[in-house]
Amino acid sequence: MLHKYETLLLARTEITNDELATIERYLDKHLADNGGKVVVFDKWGKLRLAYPIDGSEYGIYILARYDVPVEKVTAVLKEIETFFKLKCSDFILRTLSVRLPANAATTYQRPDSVEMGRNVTGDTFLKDNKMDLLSSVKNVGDRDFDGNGDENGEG
Amino acid sequence: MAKKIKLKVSSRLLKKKIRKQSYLGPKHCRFCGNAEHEPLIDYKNATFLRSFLTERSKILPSRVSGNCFFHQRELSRQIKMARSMGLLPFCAVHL
Repeated sequence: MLHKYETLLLARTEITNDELATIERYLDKHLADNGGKVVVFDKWGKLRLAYPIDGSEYGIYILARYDVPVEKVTAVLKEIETFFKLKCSDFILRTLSVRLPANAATTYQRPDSVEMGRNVTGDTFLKDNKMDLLSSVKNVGDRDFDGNGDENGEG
Repeated sequence: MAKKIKLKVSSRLLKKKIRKQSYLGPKHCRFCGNAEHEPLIDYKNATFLRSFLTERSKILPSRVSGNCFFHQRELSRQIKMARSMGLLPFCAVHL
């Protein structure tokens, strides 16, 4: 019988793709040796932290979901935790492992990352905050500028 | 002449009277019997959990939010997990 577990990792923004690959490879190998398997390995991307952790304002979140056989749960989880704490302490800031209920949904809600989120430009910002008047003011200014250009042309 | 006796009415009793007169009915937990909303209580869903924090980032009491004891406990547990992972703030301004 397998139990569902998930681990959320908080990494520094300086983490390289190689380091991410080593984490993924380690989880794959370690769980396969013990009769489990990795179900999901999601990279959320760069997110703004609610408070600065270890001097950094941003962080990269990684979510791993995996199945572990019931007999080896304690040993496997302990090994994973020590791996992140001892060998990945350079680029991993926080970890959190949680057991999921058996009927847990495969989809989940997650916060939008900074990079993958909607591009916020000047116009979209004004629309979101209901300041359309300001954008019309900008257009008026453009027209004035055009008018001046015409006058210069006539002169 | 008989003296007029003035009864003192405390503000607390007045409030109680008003509460009794304008009876709104019992509060309802928004998660009880609502299978769609229950999976929203998750530490990863920080945007939803943020609606149960005050502007000072304290957890809203069930007296205000109307949650039942079971769901309030689950919610506060998930908020604390999200806080430890840096998804939610502990307080309004971190020094």
